[in-house]
Amino acid sequence: MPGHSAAQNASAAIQLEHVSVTYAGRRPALEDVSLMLPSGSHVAVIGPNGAGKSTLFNALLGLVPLAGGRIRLFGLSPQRARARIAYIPQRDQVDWQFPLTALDIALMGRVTHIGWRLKPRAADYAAAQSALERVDMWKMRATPIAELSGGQQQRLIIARALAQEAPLFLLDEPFNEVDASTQELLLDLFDELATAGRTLLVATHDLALARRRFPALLFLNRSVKGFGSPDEVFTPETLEKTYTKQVVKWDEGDALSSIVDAHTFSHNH
Amino acid sequence: MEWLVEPFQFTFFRNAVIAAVLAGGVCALVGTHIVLRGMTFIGGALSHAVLPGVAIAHILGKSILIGGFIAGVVTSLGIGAVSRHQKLKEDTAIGILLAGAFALGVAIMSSIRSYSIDLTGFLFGDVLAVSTSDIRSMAIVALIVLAAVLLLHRQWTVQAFDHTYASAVGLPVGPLHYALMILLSLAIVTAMQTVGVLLILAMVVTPPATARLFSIRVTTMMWLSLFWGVFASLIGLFLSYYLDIASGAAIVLVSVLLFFLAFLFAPTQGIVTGRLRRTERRSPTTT
Repeated sequence: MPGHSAAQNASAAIQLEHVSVTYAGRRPALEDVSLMLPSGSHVAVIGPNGAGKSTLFNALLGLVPLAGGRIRLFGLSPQRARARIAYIPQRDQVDWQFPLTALDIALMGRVTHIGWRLKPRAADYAAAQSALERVDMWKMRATPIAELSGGQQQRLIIARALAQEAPLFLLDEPFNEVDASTQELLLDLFDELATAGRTLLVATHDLALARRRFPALLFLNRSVKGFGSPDEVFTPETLEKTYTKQVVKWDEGDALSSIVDAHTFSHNH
Repeated sequence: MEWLVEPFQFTFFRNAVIAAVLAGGVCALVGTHIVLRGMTFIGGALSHAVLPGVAIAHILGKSILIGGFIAGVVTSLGIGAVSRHQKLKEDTAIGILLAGAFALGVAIMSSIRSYSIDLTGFLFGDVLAVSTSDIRSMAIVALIVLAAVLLLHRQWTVQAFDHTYASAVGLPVGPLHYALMILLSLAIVTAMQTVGVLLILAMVVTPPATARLFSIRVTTMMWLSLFWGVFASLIGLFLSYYLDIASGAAIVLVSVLLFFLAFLFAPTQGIVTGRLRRTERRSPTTT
């Protein structure tokens, strides 16, 4: 926005100004995305597959070059802000047959804190323990990860992020194929984190859940199609703009989200 | 117990034991992380690729350890560079460089007169010809590898488990990868004289694979791999002495035999013991 100086926005957790990302030889994955999120924001990122949700996260992590625009996280460039970002990848992105225990995974969140020390310090173990306790996995700490259920594995990679003690969380589809109790536990945890001033961006396909449990929604399909509270932006117009080719049928009230859900569900599986 | 002590009266055997233990240990430690990252094929490529460096050093009368090491590092950089080309996959790059470097090594060796004898020594190892100064160099290399593994194993594990996460938290993923390649090159040149270029891969891959069957943690796997590597080297050398067979082949055969025993009978992860355990676990609930 014109007139906004950097000093004014230094407290913003996330600030994107006209950000574009283009992968070689393809049409832009992100186009002119501008966004300002204060600390404590709790945002569901919604959009179809290929809408640029992962690209947005990768840009925030400084893992893809920007074709244009500028990103500031707590006033810093993404590369310099890495210590402040807790990134939670999709669960199927990692190899769960690895010879590691639940505690080992939580301790991974401390890898940059441990640095060149030969062993984790007491503070690292304490952070890992508290992270595991928050996702109700401390009693499973000695269990090999291969023996855990999908929901438990999801809780573990969130514990790894918690152990980082970072102020910004980027979560990629944390509710994919998890059991109902894990989903509730995570939603409550996210609320607590946001209340404590942490900032959360949660990519999800679950529109009904996003509408019900998130204070803010970001509709994304290459560019921002809508941003605000569910009451403001969860409208037929926004949904049609976001899911251009996908939402064909459309009804009043909750039927809306169920139709879209059904469609995105069949689209993904 | 006489049979155990008897061979140690010979200097060559004492040297051989130290060399084999160092090589077995170093390869098994580094190998753990090679196996965890699924880089076995790179290990095979690098072990062949040290040959031109060894050949040149041999002709110039320089240290074959240093010559082999340089060739290993150059090849690992080459694999990285070729596989960065968008149209080529990494395993293709590895395949080309493996064969190319090996051919270059053979070509260089064939230009000298004692070609076949020297080449056989490099290809299959000649642990009984290890000198005291060789052992000193190998011990230094082993210390470097041990220190580096202690320092870096945590970062390597994070990277092997979840590469994107490693980049996201700001671990230096590129340097970590090349550090592992350099250590692998060091491990290979350490083992070159013991088992020879053609069999080094077994020293790198087999002990960690055996250890994996007994471990639920990477750290356990690492130290257990070290144990299996050293154990196989010792048993193999004794077999080699008493059965009068090639030492490299004896060590590798022992190592592979241990692997298959573990594969069948490891407490929970062996296929025989695992099945027994599962039936035991099932029976109380069904009755």
